[in-house]
Amino acid sequence: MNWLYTKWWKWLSAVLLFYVVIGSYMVPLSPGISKIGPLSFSPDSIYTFTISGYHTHFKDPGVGKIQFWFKSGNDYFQAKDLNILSANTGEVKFGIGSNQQDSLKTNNFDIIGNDDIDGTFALREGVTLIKASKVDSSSTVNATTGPVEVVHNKHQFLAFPYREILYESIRNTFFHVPMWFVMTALVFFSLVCSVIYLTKGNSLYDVFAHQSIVAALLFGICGLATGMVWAKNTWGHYWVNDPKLNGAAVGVMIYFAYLVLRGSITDEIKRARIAAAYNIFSLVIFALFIYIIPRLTDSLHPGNGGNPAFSKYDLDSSLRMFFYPASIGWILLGFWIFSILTRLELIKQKQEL
Amino acid sequence: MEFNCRQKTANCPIFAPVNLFSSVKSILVKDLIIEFRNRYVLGGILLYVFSSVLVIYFALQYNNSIQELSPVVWSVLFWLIILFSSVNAIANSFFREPEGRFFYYYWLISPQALILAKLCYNFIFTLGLSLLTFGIFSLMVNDPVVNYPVFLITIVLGGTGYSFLFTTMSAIASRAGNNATLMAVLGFPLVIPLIIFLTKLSAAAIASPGFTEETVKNIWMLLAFNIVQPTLALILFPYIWRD
Repeated sequence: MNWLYTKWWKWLSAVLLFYVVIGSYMVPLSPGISKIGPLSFSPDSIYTFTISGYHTHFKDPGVGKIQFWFKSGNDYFQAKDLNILSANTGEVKFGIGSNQQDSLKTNNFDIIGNDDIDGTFALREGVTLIKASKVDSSSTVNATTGPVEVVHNKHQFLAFPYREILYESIRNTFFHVPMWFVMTALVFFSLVCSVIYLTKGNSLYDVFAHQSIVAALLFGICGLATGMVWAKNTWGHYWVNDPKLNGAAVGVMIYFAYLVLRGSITDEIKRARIAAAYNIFSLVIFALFIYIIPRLTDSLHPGNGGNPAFSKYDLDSSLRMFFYPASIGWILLGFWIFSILTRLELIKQKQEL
Repeated sequence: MEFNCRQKTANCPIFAPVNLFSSVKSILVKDLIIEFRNRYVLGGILLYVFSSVLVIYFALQYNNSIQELSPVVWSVLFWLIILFSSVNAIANSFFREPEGRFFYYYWLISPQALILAKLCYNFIFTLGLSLLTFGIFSLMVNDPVVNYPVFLITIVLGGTGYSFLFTTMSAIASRAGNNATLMAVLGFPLVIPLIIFLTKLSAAAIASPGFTEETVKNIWMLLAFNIVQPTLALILFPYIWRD
């Protein structure tokens, strides 16, 4: 009971969230390649590719040697005659012989760049080779593979990883994902309170269960809102048919039904007991639903259905620096809101007496 | 068990039971007898199923012919009809009892016996309803099922899932002022996982003969739901029931 009134964890939450909000807007994205043209090429002639970088430092004095490779399978083909146009654009010349085309693992080439300031940056499957129908043996065009020697592999400053599709919206990781952590934490807290209420019969735990569901719904709606904005900008639609989205919608619906159920019973003790029973029943079914179905079907979310998990390589050290404080900060904020709601409810009950 | 009346009394219409099994049996028999005597309730539900199928039949008429239904649409329509008719049928199971009768039961039997009896009764009722819906549906619309074993397993598991879920929801809603809307509001979000597996399984029964790995996985999932639900109902019903 006392923990509702202690202050230190509320201060901790405020400090952590302040750090996360400031950090998430101040830290830049690491360099990447946003565009390359032309998108496809044929063997036996030299092409000039224009590479558009993002947050790169080609004109910076300390940039050192700027190199580009075209990568197919595990072969790195050196691009030649680099011509820097601005800090973010450069031109390279590259061509491949028709006698080389059959030894390629794949026709899609990744573009990889490196310099001393930006480290290594890449565009996955940027250009496509359209294979010639027959091999021209008189061709003089020949791409050379070579050992890759780089001085700096990493970007020199603190930066969030550059991901295609996500781009700058990767910062939403600190807001969207913790919303669901908070909702899950509050909902399980409410489950525990309901179980304690049914075994002990102390009406304080009913207030706890009720108010934590209200707080959880608040975060569920925020999670849906942040997710919908993110989905519009990455997947193209506000709502897509994805098991995690559907699970979230069902979860929010269940807890609105919980509130409707509470509203329709006037007797306090009866209301507390029946709401607790419904809370336990629905949460177990819902947990079964949300933890098993997404594992059986494909999801667009990272970590499901062949998509790499965030923790595998997407969540690198710079994201972790903010993601873990964000999770803890948001969960504490959730319980802070819950404590305010609970105290308000307790005062209301006191006034009625 | 201390509330059980341990001797047969003259004005006790139910044979005063002492153990769980016989109390379940007597409540079940009582419910079946009431159902048989009040045939208009049974007739109402049958008419409900029949008229829903008829509505679908006429809605499918386009250019003087019945539109072909894809396996998924067929199973969605089929399970939706069963969903709505079973909600209507099961809503009666607790609402029908007069207010005072629960006090009477309270002295006679344990809450577990009552909920078990209601679960069994609604299971029998929903299973019959599902089979009947399938009969009318195949007669009026069409019967695309090729894999009858899988389809029968689906009907049994689906009927079980629906009846268990809505019995619990009916018990909760009956305590909150006999509100049928409330029962739908409480139950529909929870029925979504069931519907997902049921449509998958019955679409599989329409599409292919034999058991695929996917089918077996879905059957296990439905079984898990059907074990978890009555377990929770048994644990929680004493708290719902108590006044």
